[in-house]
Amino acid sequence: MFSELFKPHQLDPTHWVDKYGDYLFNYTIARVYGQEVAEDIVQETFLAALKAKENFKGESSEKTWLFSILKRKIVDHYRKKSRDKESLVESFEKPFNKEGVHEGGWMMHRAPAEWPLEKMESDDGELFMEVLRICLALLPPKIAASFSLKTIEELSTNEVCKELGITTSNLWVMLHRARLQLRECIDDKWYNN
Amino acid sequence: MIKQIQKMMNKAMHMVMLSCDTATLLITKSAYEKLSFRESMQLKMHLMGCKLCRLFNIQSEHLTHQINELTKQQGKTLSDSKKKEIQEAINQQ
Repeated sequence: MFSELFKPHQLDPTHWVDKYGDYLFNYTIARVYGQEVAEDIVQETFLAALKAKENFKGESSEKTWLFSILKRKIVDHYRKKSRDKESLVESFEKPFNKEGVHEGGWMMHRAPAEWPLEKMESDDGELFMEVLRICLALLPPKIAASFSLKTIEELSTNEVCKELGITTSNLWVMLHRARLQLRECIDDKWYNN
Repeated sequence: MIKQIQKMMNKAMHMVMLSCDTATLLITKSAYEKLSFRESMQLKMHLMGCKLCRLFNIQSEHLTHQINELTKQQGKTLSDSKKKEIQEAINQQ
């Protein structure tokens, strides 16, 4: 009876897609901004899991095990993406004056303007989320990768720097750019400032 | 008169202290980690005198909140045809 109770978890790949496909996909699509990319990552996860089947010790559940592989795949995705050529993306200039008395100050026509409260409160709708996804997808690859790993995957500063091969100060510069660009994009596409 | 003094103070503050560029970098940093005492004092002083960076601060926090909401969204599913495709890929291995 006890042996039954402590039986290690088993893998059953023939039911993986039915049982966990949607769960893994839902998690991924919120993180990679593209249906096809998300589908590919889920498929890669299952195939990688199949290859690593022998390593499954049965200590965690099948679901937890697959999920840990998925998380690794998502980090890999960002890491690869960060190496993409950036030439196709229009480079973003920071909204600060580059010279003169107001060097380092906001350029007037790009400075933040108030976001009306009623519009901020209606933010959780599907439509706003769509705008947010679009703005995230517009970030240059390397900046998007560092922003997502730090903000969404919540990796530590050291881990992000290791994954992307950058220094800490480099990371802050990229996160700074990411937030400036996202703010301006949402300002433009949602608040119509 | 008071307005003029305020204006001069503002100018002096901007010269001695952080630029908006650096202030928004610190705002970004503060979204992820605790700032050092010096950084946090510098930022506080800057924010006292700078309405635009105060706005950026609010909007940046709001952004963090919305990104969290985005990752909590539920109910996205794989299409049946994609499921079939993936299952077949698994079966072939």
